[in-house]
Amino acid sequence: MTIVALIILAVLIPPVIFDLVRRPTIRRLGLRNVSRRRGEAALVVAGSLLATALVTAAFVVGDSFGGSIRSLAETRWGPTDMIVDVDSTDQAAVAAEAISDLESADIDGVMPVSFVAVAIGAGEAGTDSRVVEPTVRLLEFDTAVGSTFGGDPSATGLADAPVEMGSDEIVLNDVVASDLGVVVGDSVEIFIGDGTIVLEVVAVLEKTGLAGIGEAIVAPGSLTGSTFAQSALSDDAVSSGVFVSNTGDVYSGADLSETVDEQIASALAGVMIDDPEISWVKSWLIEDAEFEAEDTTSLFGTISGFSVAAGVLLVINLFVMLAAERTVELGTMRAVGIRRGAIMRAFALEGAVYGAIAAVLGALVGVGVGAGVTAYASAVLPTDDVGIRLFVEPSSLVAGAAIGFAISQLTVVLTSFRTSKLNIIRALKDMPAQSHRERSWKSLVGGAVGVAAGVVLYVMAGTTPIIAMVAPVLALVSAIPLLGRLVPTRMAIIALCGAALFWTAAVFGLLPDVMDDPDISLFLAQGILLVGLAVTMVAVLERFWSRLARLGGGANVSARLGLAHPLDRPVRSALLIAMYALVIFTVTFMGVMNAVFSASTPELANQAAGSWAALVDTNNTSPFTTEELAARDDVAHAAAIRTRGVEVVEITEGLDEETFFTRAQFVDDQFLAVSPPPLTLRGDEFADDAAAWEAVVESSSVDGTKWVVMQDWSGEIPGDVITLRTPDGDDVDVTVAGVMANGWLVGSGMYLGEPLAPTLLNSVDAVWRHFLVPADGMDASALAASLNADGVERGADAAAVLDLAISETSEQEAFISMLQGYLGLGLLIGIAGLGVVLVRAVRERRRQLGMLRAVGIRSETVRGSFIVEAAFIGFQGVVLGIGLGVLSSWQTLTRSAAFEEGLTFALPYRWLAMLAVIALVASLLASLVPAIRAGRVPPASALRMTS
Amino acid sequence: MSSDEINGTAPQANALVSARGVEKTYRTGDLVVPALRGVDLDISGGEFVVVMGPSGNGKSTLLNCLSGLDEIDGGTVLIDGNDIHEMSDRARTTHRAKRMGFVFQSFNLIPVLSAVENAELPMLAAGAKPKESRDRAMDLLSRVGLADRSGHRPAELSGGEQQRVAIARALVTDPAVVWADEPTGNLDSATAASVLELFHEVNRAGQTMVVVTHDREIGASADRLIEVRDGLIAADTRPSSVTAEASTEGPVR
Repeated sequence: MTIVALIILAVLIPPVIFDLVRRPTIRRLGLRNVSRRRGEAALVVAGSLLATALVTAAFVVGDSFGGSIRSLAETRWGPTDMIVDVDSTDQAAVAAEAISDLESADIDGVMPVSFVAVAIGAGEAGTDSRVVEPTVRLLEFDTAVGSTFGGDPSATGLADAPVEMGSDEIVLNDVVASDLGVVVGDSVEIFIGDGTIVLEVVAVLEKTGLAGIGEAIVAPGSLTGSTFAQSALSDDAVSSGVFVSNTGDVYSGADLSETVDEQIASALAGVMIDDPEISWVKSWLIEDAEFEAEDTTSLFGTISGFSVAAGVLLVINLFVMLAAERTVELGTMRAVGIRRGAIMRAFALEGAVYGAIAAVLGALVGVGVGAGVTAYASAVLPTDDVGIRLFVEPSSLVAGAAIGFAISQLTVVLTSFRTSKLNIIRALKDMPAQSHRERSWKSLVGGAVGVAAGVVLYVMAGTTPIIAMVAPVLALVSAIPLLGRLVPTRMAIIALCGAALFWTAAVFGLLPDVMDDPDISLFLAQGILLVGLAVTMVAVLERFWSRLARLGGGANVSARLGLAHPLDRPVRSALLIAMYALVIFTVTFMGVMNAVFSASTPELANQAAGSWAALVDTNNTSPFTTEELAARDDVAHAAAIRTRGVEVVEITEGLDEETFFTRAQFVDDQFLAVSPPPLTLRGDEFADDAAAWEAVVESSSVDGTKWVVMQDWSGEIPGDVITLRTPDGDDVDVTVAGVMANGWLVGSGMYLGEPLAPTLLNSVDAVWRHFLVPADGMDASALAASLNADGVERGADAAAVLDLAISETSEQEAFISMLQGYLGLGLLIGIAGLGVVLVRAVRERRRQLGMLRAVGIRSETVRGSFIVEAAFIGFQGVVLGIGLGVLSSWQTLTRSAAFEEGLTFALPYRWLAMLAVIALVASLLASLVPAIRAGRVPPASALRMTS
Repeated sequence: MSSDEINGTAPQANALVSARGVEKTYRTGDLVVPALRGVDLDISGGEFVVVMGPSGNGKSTLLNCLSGLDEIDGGTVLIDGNDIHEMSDRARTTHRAKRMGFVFQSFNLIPVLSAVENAELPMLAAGAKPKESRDRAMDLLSRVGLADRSGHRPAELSGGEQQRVAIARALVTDPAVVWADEPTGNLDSATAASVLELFHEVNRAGQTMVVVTHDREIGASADRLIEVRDGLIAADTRPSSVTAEASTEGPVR
């Protein structure tokens, strides 16, 4: 986008500079018009800068999201660039030594680390001072090694940590210490199994670097070496690994990840650790930051596309207004021999001045808008430990300004091409221009070419979503002059635009395979097409509106005048309506999306977990047992869910075999005690969902087909065979029995039968997740609260599935609200546009206004006519925007493959009514100043000036 | 102290329009242009008055000030015995709607309304019912020979036709006086003659007409010819009277 903008500027600006320097006449014409009417110039600049501001804001929001994550990358991992996962603490020591022995110039720190999630308590039990943090990340490593790890003690976060720690000592970071209410010298309890270990807090460190990764730090062997803890900890509970720091700073160190990965792999192969899992933690986080920045910029950029489109229409209106006011002088210039090209160039020069000022101011306003969005995002979005802060890259300012400037300049040049084409005599007499119909052969040839282009595009590239949507519309609209030979043009426009409108609205449902993974720009294109087509159809219905206006406003002079003007200028009115409708369309679409997500929440919960209404996780150090849960009075059913990663083998013909880990949930017949999640696809061999799930839980490693249920995002369908690799290196084929939707809500991936777990997993010691059904009369949320209270020392984290769905929906709603607020700025463009047109109307109609006042029309009647005019435009914009928004959202949300199945369509009636009222009031506000000015036009001077 | 005492002359007893000491000055920055410098004038009901004089000497300003379209800087203007410059803007507007009609050089029709819609506007503004307004407007369009063009918009009419619509609009409320500012200025001579004939026809029916013009033919055909020079009434004659030179009624200042 930025490159396109720069190319446009490179083409359009040099001639302007040439004229500025070498063409004094054009320079005088262009520059003096800028300073001639300062108020008008300010209006043009203000109108132009809105588009620049929105584009710049999109970049700034992207910068802020990316920058915030990037800054996390700089602090979260401290000096750690990579983590090598190994099976045990012993293996970690061996691996660390092997890597150190490499003496690689690319590595400046190697440290074995053990990790365990535990509950930590402080204060006297049974008193108010008692506090328990259910899940704390605890690292075991040598702080002496840690403090010099990576060569920069300030980056480790361990500068103030004791060099030597006893096995009864612990270091906490300041966040956990604060939550527990402990200081140095206090004691804390670590809960493991049925017992506790008491440790003394010897330091509280700022949450950064290694003290950020580890919320609590103990010396090696404090937990893993303790006899009690070892007996209570399952093999699954402790993770061991080696932290590796690459040489260089945050970014150059991360850049070495691939090189160091190879070195580590070769070093570990020498100590018989094959195919180690090496995480490029810092590099991946930086990549995430880049992706997030691009993704957010793209999202906001595309969303702001609607407002920018409205802004383009505003700039067109502004320059048409400027040209209309100068009709006589333009005619005079042409009469005295100034060529049309020179007039265009003078306009381009004038536009460049406005555009340049607007670009600079718009970029600054954009930073303000971006800051507002960032502050809102930071307040409403769940960001874990990523604090969204304002970041502004200078390149973003340049890009925003360049894009805004290019849009404005291109619009000005194209508009001046049209406005400089005038009839000299009519211009001199200040008479309205006569419309010229294109010669029929030209429109016929153009139409035929358009139809052919549309058909060819569809045939050649109809599987590309944007082409599939746009090409038929191009063909249909181009056919208007052709059909216009057979039937009246008005009928041809309504028929063909109507067909194109239907296609555009229904394309997601008509072509589900093509439109299954739409880019957001597709929605932008759909919105613009729908609004453009609908506004065109409305514009040719002016006779109908005129009749309606006569019926409704016969006696009312304000209504008669207010309706007559927009109906007389259908093209200008259509531009205005389109400007309004575009913004309202998008806001409506998002509002409906919010309502649909909200209404679909119960179904989302059902799809994710079936009749299982709650789930509880615990620390793997002291999990709930199924028997323990089932024995509770408030639990009707409990099912153990063994959640682990399994290795999937991907074999693509002609390529090397690849493996990756995917989350799996092993379930047994407890899971079938109530209705499991419904399947969206099911193999023909199963009579119903229950039969498919039964086959899954009964699948054994011994014989027969091993059935699994997959998530719909995997792309698998019933009957597909997936190869899994066991820890021993053997392959096991599993077959997809069915596919479910929205399992992500409860963190599920592939569902397998528990009998397969011993084959596919290293160990099957403990299960720390359970699905639950509350006892009769018990609410799932209350059950979750009760479990959290009872299991706090075991790190219990229980939630009702419906609450998870509501929370998820709320997050989506918050994000969509943020986008809506951002789009609301587009409404400003609509208001500005309407205001500009009406201000222009006061000038254009000054003589008429004088005459009206002369013949006895009261000033309030004149004012009323302007308000009616604005309301008429606003009303059509609102009706089209909301109507098309609802139609389009209904199509895309319920009939396309782009969204999850099972969405419950719902309309936010009250919200839509509020939107309509706000938009209408906004349009009336836009008319206020022009209406007052129109009412104050003194009749004699208005008539004298122009007569 | 009454306005008569201020201006020193009493208004004519049967005057429809009576102006005393009317002053009007235009100011643009430091530039001060006195347009009317104390005009006294009486116009009786049913008169056909033509105001002539060189450009820039105050003819149109006189019309604007007498009709209440423009404010005055001094003096009084009584219409039907009411001082129109003492009225509020609202009252003056209503007064114009009910008691005055206007015809302008450039027709000043609303381009987005049809001929009949233009013609009926003042009646609607005066609060008449739509059907009554439409019937009256159609009747007047018939009188000016445009019954078959009533649905056309101004752009679809010739200059003469547009001016006829403007005349119909001026007469639609059956006003006490019709003010016309250069009504034939944009018309060819044949069309101008027909418009003039229409004016006389209306006048013969009892309508008071005040016409500002450069057209000597109109002046020659008037009951009364007023010549304005340098913001003052330089002559007030009755061209159709034998004793034209001696018939000055209003004070010449």
